Amino acid sequence: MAATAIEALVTVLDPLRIMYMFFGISVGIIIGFLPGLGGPVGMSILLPFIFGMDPYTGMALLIGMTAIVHTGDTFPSVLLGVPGSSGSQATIMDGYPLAKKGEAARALGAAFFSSIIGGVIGAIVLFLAIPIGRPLMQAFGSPELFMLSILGLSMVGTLAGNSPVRGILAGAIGMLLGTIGGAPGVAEYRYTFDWLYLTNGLPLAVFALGLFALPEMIDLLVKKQSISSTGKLGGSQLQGVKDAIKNKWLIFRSGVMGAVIGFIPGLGGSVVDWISYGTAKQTLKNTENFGKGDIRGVIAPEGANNAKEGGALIPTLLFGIPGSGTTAILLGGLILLGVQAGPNMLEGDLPVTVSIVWTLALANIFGGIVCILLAKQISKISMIQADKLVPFLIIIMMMGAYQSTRHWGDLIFFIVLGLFGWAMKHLDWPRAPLLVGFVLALPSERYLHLSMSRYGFEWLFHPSVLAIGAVIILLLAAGVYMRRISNREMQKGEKS
Amino acid sequence: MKRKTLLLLIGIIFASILAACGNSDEAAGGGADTFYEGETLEILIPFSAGGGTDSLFRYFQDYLNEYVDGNPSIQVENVPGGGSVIGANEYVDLREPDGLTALATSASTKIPFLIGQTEVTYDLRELQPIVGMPNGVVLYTSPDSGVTNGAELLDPPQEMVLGATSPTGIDVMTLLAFEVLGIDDQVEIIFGYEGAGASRQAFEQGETNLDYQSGTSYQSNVQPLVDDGEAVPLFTYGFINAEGEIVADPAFPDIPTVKDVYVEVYGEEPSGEAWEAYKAFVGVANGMHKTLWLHGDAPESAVQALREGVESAVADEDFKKGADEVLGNYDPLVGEDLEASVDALASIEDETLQWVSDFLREEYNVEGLRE
Repeated sequence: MAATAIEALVTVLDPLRIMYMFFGISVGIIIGFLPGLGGPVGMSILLPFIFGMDPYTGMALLIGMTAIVHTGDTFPSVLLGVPGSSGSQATIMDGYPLAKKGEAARALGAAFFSSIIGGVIGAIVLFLAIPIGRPLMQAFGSPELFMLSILGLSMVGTLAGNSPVRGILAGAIGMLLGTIGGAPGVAEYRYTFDWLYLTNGLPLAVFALGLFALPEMIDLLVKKQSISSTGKLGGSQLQGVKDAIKNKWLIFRSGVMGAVIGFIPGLGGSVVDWISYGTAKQTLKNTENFGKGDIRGVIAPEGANNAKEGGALIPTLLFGIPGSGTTAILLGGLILLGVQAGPNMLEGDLPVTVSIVWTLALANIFGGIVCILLAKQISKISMIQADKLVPFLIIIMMMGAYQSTRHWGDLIFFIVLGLFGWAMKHLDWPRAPLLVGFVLALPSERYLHLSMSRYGFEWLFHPSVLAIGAVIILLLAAGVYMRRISNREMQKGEKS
Repeated sequence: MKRKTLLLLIGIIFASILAACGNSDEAAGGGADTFYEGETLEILIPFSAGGGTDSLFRYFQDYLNEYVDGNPSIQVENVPGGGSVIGANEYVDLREPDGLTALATSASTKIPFLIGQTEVTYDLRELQPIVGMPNGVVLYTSPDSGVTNGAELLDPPQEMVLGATSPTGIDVMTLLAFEVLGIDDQVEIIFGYEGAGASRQAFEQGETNLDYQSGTSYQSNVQPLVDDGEAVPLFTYGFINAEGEIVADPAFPDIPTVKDVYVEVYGEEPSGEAWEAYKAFVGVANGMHKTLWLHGDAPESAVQALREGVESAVADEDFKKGADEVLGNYDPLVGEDLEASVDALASIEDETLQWVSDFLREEYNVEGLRE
């Protein structure tokens, strides 16, 4: 294994391949930067270029892009308060308030540093999983996958800030919206009104953009000022990096969590940032500033969303089961390069697999550094007056939304969901639980249906199911406990 | 400073416009001798980029440009949605039958037509295939089930459980095969798995003990299990020959077909409506698993030029070398083989299709099928 690893590193470090990796990285940063465009779009743009390449070079290009989308998407999340891709909404929660306070550079520094570390953790997890991937995958049957969806759904109360009830209600509405389209298990369409567009459900990118981005744009226009209310770019990236180093355990924890959730196919890696954010909030001390500009609220999701890609590659490469839109296209790319994903990736094609690990790690490091170097220039966006900036952004977002299925329904729902999100924002209803419910509606229903049809009620007593159940209860209890402690400390502080 | 940032923004917008606009329509027309001289052939793919069908036809792209008379530039356009029905509908309803736009389909585009989903506006019998890529199906079980050959499925020592996706997709072939063999009561079919990859995972983990995969997926994912004694092949779904009969899968000549199993169990050749329907499905979904089509009323010179171009393309040594990964051990259907498939497709009776719709409605409560 060690010899293969070194050989693969030499292959990856070939100057031509490094060049392609940097090309992938630049596309990844741009795609991440443009709101609404995410990994799948980047993949489809690069796919035609890989014809005739050898697998190592082709992978350098594709993995270079994938690795860095979730680093580049931090820019709009922090600077504009709109998600750069569907995996970076949670960063907005604290990154955007920091930018408003004029500490954008600090938030970006912390985010990029966490992204680099998270991405490397993802690559290490991928490497470690190579020999044990098979038994690992076999540990997750439908009952376990159902319990993991419930673990994600249990976050809705925490993500709601001060009103868990509203969070649960919003989560329920999200799940209801998630049922639109073909039902898993039976040949039925729900709420499609005989409209073909809706048979696949609402596209995630449209949902996320409408819910989070459009409301922000409207408010920016109304206020008619630049995003940074102080009018200057305070804070230093170095400070952000220091903050991140201080919270090294949080990065490590978030990274491992991101890789593990990314590894489980069908669970919706797109909410991994929220799950990481929610757990951080449930288990850390003094979380009363979460949502108002706590640097840890930036570190947790950013450490997780880069690590996710490493995890998501495990089932893709070893089993040919893609866990996300991006990896589904990557699978097609592998075929074009003459590599068939599956057990062979551990045998004949092992060098390709290991080169992917290296590319993933190196691209995360290089890409993160590029972002840090660019940050100063790009941050100036938050100084532009809203009435000059917003029209550009809205056009980009409309285009991003339209990329989902290229059907006019994308645009309609972008606007409808945007107005809905705007109303929620102003009535102080949390939007994150809505998204979590929406994403997890289908997997939770699917795996419940499969568990019940296969095992009746017997699955409830599987040891692994009980174990995940215990984790859910522990996390919920920790959340309640932490909230009580912080309330008590706050009262103490007020008295003295 | 401000101006610089604005310039940057404008640059970004142009980049995204370039990214968004994948296609530009070319005016119709055509020369007398070489139809595609100076033209652009657009291939409409009703799936998103990167899927199996997309990869295959993108692989074809350069070879088509090289071998089709007149060297047309080839452009791929993805119109995903509705499980590929949206794109295929768009092709027949909205695109000009001028020979400058072709449609690529996979089995999942064909099944909705065969079972008669009401959303479908295309009739495959009215399109002209240019090339077909075959892909078979193999059904296999785990050694723990105690079943060692297809005939034993009639009286299995323990409950047989098969993981499937939906009774409106490619699973319909399996439902028909079970109906023909009379084992639909012996096997419990659990619908709801996300796709063939997910059902294979459920099999490997012991949640199910019966599974099927396409020929290409079987070769790369299941054959290693068979070699390790963790899976036992039972039968293939076979292929249709020029006489319209089921014959062995060319990639797995040693594994018996559904027909062989039937003959072994019942001592006679299968017949009846279920069998006719089964053969229609095998002919279309296996024989022409992935297909490139032109409109039924496209210019004859276009159809000729493309068919000839593809025939020389698939004979290219480079093409064959790279195609192994994309096509598995199957040879593309061109020339006479293609003619046989076209005949088989055209001879599918309306009554057979109606029988399938009624069967799915009555046995599996499928709604939204032709009445």
